[in-house]
Amino acid sequence: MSQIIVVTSGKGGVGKTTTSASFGSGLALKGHKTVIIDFDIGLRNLDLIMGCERRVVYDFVNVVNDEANLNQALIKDKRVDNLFLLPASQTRNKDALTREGVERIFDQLTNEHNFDYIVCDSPAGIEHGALMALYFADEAIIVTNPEVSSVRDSDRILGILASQSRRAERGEDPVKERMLLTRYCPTRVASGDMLCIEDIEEILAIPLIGVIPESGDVLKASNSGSPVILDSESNAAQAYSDAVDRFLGEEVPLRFITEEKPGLFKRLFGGKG
Amino acid sequence: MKPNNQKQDSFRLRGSFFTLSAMELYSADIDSIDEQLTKNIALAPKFFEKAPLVIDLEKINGKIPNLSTLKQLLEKHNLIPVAVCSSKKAHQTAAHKAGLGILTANAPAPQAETIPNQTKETETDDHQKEVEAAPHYEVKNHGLVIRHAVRSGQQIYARGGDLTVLASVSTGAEILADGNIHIYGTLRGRAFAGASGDTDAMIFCHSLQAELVSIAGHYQLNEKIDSNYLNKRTVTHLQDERLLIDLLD
Ligand SMILES: Nc1ncnc2c1ncn2[C@@H]1O[C@H](COP(=O)(O)OP(=O)(O)OP(=O)(O)O)[C@@H](O)[C@H]1O
Ligand SMILES: [Mg+2]
Repeated sequence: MSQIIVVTSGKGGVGKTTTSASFGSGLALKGHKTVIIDFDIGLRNLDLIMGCERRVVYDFVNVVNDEANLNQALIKDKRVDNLFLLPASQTRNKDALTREGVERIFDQLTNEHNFDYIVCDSPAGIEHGALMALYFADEAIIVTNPEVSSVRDSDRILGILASQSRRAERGEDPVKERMLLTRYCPTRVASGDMLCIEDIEEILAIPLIGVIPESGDVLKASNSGSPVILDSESNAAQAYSDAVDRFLGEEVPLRFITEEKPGLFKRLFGGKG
Repeated sequence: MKPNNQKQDSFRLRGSFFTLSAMELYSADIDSIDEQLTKNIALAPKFFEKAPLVIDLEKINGKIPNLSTLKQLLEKHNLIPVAVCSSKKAHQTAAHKAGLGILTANAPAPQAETIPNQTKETETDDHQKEVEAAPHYEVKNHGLVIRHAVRSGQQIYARGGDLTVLASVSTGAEILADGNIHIYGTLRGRAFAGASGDTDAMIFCHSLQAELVSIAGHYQLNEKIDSNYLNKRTVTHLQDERLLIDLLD
């Protein structure tokens, strides 16, 4: 049985697509057959970040409309084994997805393609596209930035998961909710410009699965079409790997959450600014 | 598939009880009704949206408003007037003219329930055993217990009873109860106790950070709450039409 994971946030631009790409890659690197689906119909971002935009022939909407089959639309990642991508359409609008169509594709991904994980990259907002991305979810990764508006939107999405997901409608066990704090900047938290981890945990009251630091490596990685988690030197990559480990049940301490102490050299001889 | 040789009824009439909100009218002045409606609805817009409503004329002294005008006013506010409640013949004739149904007696006090949102609810045990020896008090109603956080955008209404939330109530969430409200977490959203007018209702919470607290329509916004009570365990209650907050510790 595939596990369906939705990566969602309510608020836009908080790092859902970055997270879907890295998290999906991380699961595949651990040996789990994983597909990442771009639910952001009309925008197409995921294939860019994954560096396979030139290999897109058919997309998610084509499969929903029976214009292509899954084998034709699934793109196999060239760097990571077990990793596949189902790209979004750039030419359709978000209403092109129907519940029946999406359910049929999930059934095939589960039963014919035997995926372990289906990672759904949700569009921002709480409209059709976002509702569709979360409807079938077993697990939710709530991507949150350490600021009030993002936390508020995450809270809203949690309410929607609790009332409008298929699990909620059927009265089954609720969607398993976990939060991933991204773009965390310890210096700005220390100066009071951003909310700290404890405050956010208190407000959202769901388990924290990781804290990804603000890092220039993220933009560099997406410009070069490679999920940041593959850049193993990077703090962001290591933080994403930790999050995947925690998702899979390991206990890993949080890293990169305090201000970097100046090094010994700098302390002894002083440094500029 | 239904067998087509057997003719199916297209409907069945059955007696049923529904809980409806009633608007107990004290004045015939359409403008002041309009003004108050605007205020009340602004407090809980989603709760009132498309809500069926009974116009209760039992308490009005003297003149009643033109019911067609009142009906239009309610519809303008996105409410759906369905009937008039009154034992007076004149009122009933007016209701009839305005195309409204007629109800005569108030239904007995209903049990707790939630309606407005699709949120899961748990009802408390209906059959509380009486302990014969202990002095007993008349208990008005049973309550509704919510075990999960009430999130932004969600709304829960314990109609006819108390509401207990075992978690926090988020900013942007609304909880309503005709009786008391108990929150074992932090109240960050809006809470309306005594939502149908019970001035004895109270709001208890473990940490008060509410956007708004209201009892029987008397409300206070966050900015008006004395900072000595913020983030504290408190009880909010009404005394002589004034909203008071006390510390619980
Ligand atoms: N940890 C990070 N450090 C620095 N920049 C980041 C980080 N995570 C994401 N970003 C940047 O934030 C921007 C938005 O990221 P992304 O596209 O993943 O967000 P999104 O939530 O998918 O946005 P949308 O709501 O538009 O789909 C991008 O420019 C990305 O490079
Ligand atoms: Mg995105």
